[in-house]
Amino acid sequence: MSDELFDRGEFVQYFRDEAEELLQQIDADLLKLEDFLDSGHADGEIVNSLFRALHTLKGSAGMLGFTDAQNLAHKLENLCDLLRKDRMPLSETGINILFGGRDFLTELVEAAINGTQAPRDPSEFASHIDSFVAVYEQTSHLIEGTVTERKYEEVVAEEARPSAAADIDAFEAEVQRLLEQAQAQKAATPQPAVQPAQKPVEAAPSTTPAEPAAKAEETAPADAAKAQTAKRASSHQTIRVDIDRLDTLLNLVGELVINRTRISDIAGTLERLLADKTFTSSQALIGPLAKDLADSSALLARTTNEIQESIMKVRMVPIGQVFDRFPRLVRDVAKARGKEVQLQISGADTDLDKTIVDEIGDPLMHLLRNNVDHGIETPEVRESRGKSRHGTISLNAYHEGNQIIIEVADDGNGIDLARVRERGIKQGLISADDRLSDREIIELIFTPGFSTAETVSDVSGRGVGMDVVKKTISRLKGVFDVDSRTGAGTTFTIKLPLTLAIIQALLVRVADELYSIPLDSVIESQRVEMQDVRTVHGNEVITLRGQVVPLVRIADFFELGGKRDPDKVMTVIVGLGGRQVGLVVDSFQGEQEIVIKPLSDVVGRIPGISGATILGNGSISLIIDVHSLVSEAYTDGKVARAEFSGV
Amino acid sequence: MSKRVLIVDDAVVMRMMIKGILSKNGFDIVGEAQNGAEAVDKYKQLSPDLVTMDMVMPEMDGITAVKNIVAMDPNAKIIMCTSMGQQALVVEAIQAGAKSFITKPFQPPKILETIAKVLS
Repeated sequence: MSDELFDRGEFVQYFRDEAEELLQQIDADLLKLEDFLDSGHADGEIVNSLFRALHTLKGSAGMLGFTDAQNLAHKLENLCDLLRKDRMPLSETGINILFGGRDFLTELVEAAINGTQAPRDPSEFASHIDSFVAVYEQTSHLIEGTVTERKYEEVVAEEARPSAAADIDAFEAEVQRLLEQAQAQKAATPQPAVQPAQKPVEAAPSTTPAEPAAKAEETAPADAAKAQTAKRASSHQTIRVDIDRLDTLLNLVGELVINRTRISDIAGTLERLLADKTFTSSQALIGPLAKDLADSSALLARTTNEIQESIMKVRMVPIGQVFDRFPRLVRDVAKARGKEVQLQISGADTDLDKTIVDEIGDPLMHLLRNNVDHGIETPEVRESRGKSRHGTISLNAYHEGNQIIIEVADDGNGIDLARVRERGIKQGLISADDRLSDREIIELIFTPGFSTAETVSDVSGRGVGMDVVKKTISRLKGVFDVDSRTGAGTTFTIKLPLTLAIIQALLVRVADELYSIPLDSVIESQRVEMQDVRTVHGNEVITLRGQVVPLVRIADFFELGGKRDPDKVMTVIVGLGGRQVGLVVDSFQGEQEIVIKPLSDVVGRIPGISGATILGNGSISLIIDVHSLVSEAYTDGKVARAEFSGV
Repeated sequence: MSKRVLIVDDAVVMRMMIKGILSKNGFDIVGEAQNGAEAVDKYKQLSPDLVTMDMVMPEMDGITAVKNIVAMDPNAKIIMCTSMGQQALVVEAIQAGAKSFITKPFQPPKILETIAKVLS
């Protein structure tokens, strides 16, 4: 291909995005096709869609000179072509070849884009396709009969050859010949071929195998076509934005938010001055000023809110981008484990911050593997328990307030508490005479290295499962919860903030410092009389609606010193995944929207602090890492340490 | 005045490529369409001097689009973009009123040559 007229490099990026979409489409179509296996006859619209995706991929790969991908896509397209023309029944072997080919294509495309060597040589796989396809090509050639036999052979021969300039010339010559032949035939037959563009198709003698396909496309059900239109339209109304640019914008908005708060501060001060009767001489001056300032502050508030909202929206992407790859995953794992599993996805269009979407894929994958592997029983066991043979896993996402909730639920066996306990003892995590609540036993699965699988070759038994999931989710400022009902199923619930950049916080004062506590983890604030504070195992606790809640004195935790009120404690009750802690502070300072600034590497990681923010008056407030404080409080000894250091 | 071109292809890489080749050679790309139905609409709106038309597309394939466009404008100048192995479809498209065809993977000089021939 001559390159002097265009720069290949600039198209590779387009190709990357397009190929990703197409491969996803191919996967989705194949999964749908699998449902038609019993009938042995593929649904026309799905096969057409599959064919087009492969065809487009072939064309684009060919343009960029990615020959391996082009050739493989071509072979798979051939296979699909036989399917869509009903020359080949839909078989498990066929589907598996297509699945395998799709995976191979992914590797080839990736290697081509990165300019690296493909991990596997496609030639063996290609000949595997060829020999599979050859059977049907021969049969169909017999069915075709003698009239089009020769032409069909040519087509097959033509299609089987990889493309090269010489082939193109041959192809074009062939078209030329066919055109002339058609012309001659038309002249010879006394057909009223007067109206151009109306029905020259029927007049053409060259009714080759490609023709019924075009027909099939035309006569596709109207509603299916409409659905396709809607889908296409929506997928193309999106723009791709460089994430760095968005971050810059978001930072700017952050500054705006700070300024907005500052202006309202000034307005507040002015208003207070105004209320001061001794200041009467300046009142005439300050009055209108205060009003102006209040107005502009209101305006600024509205504008920044809008900017903030729209910028956040730009960063938001549907979580379906992640969900899309799961049907295939679940299918593969289920097949490998001899289970029948149906994955039901809902809420795929729920929007979430891009950063979170990118990070949440792996944890979800772990959970789904776990559901299939440990949750869902084998078809035989399910039947014996009076359940349907195939298990159901539902993956559901929805917004709730300022959070997104993702639920992964199965209708399987539930977590086998006895087994978990037994493994916990075997792995030395607990001792045999420890008395643990069900919840505490479930908590064991989050211990690093914990696995109920006997062998590491198990799909999800590599011991890098649940603790990693939990860590990732808490890094994303999310909460992870497990609910298990023995014999009825397991539900994992993930709650994530919509964005990590701007949050609502409760400002509290501790030893003359202002701290910010993320509002989404605050349950309530309570003034508690000292006489209601009891000490259990050296830890201060209070009882809140029947639940024992340990207290953590912030001043002690950060070793700030300061005086203690002997009569009462001001507590902020925070909760994470069902566990609550009362943070003891000096006073509450109200709620505020804060922009999270990460602590620089110079400062390093400080236990209990997740970041900092700049307040309206320019001072800095540290943001309390509720997650680490709650974990600490529930780890034996830590609360005691805080207790002692304060005495 | 430079000739106004409508590019029809469902593959974004293809559209970008054709666009790149043509705009570097003095053509004015007035529109792009990603399926046959869109192509017909855009042709109505833009009445371009030239259309490059892919064959295999969702919604409405290239041949049907050619038929529709030619029905509106018998003088429409449409060049089919085809892959090898589609000779039957090419013949059908040309009988439906397409003026010529180019074969993927494109060779830029050949595209320009074909276009020049069709426009003359």
